[in-house]
Amino acid sequence: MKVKLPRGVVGRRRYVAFTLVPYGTQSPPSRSELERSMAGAALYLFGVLGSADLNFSIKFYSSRSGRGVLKTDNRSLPHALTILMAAAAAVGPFTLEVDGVSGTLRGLARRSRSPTKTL
Amino acid sequence: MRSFVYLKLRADPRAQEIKTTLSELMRLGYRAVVVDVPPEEWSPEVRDEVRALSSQSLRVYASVEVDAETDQDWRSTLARVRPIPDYLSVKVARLADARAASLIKSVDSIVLSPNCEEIFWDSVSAREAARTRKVVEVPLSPILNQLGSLRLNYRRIRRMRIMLQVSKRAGLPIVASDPSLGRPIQPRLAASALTSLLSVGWEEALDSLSSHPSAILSGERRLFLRGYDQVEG
Repeated sequence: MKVKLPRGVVGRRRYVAFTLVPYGTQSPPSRSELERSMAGAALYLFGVLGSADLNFSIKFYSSRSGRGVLKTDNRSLPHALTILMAAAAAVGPFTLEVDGVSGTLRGLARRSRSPTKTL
Repeated sequence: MRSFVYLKLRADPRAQEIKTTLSELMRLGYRAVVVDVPPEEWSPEVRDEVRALSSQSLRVYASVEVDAETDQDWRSTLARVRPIPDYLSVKVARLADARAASLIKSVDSIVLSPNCEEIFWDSVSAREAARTRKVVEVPLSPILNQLGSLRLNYRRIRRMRIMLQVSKRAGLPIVASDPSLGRPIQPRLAASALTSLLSVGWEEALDSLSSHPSAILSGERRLFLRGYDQVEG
């Protein structure tokens, strides 16, 4: 059975396609390493209470290519991107690149393929 | 669609590597780049060299930043910066310098030094800066570099937030400069950092990377181009 919540209690879903770009020939971190780093960055930046308002998780991630999809919502999006940016820099010499943001995975795939990305 | 401006690329305009950096910035989504030239190297030839780097898809402008934090005689340095560059800014870290800089007509932006130990940007300076149609500039890279190593100074961030709030109340636009974390980051990520670390609203953060710097570069906000007395407000 699916949980039914009133409208507006939770934000609208957002998927963020991202790539961790290494500075040199460093291989990308594993999924668990990245998740641990993200949890640490969230606690460091926003604390326990601030992080409790945020909704973010890694939906897909490939440690071979450094590409992944972050699941979050429209309210947490700027904070989630900052956390991911901090986590990427903390886990090694990586910078974060966002390939696209969408409300659905299908839209995200379409947007990531498109050469002109909009905000 | 927004045209993002990368403020203050610190690179030699004569070096070969600048072309690679400019194409990288274009790939990241920037449509204009402001190359920062040290005041002692500034000349009409350097300005022309910087402007010659423009292409059809990327406009390149020249800027000069006078550092009142280290240069005691910064007013003379500012007076020597001729011709006036496309974007002229003064970096301040003291109240007296902030007050003085906010009165100078040719200055386009007041850079708030992130290494501040006290609040030096108050509502008097902010109102005066708003009257002379300046913008207040936040250098992002010192904050972002601390973010990478998770060593942010919360007191400095608090002071910066207060100073930005003062600017906002005075109706002074905020611009973000130098968004790099070792290497340049996308405008969307710079806006996220502004929103979550400095409590700037999302739309305002996007404006600080696009329309506000564009207004200066296009000459729209520059008082000395159209005569001070004719400008209202």
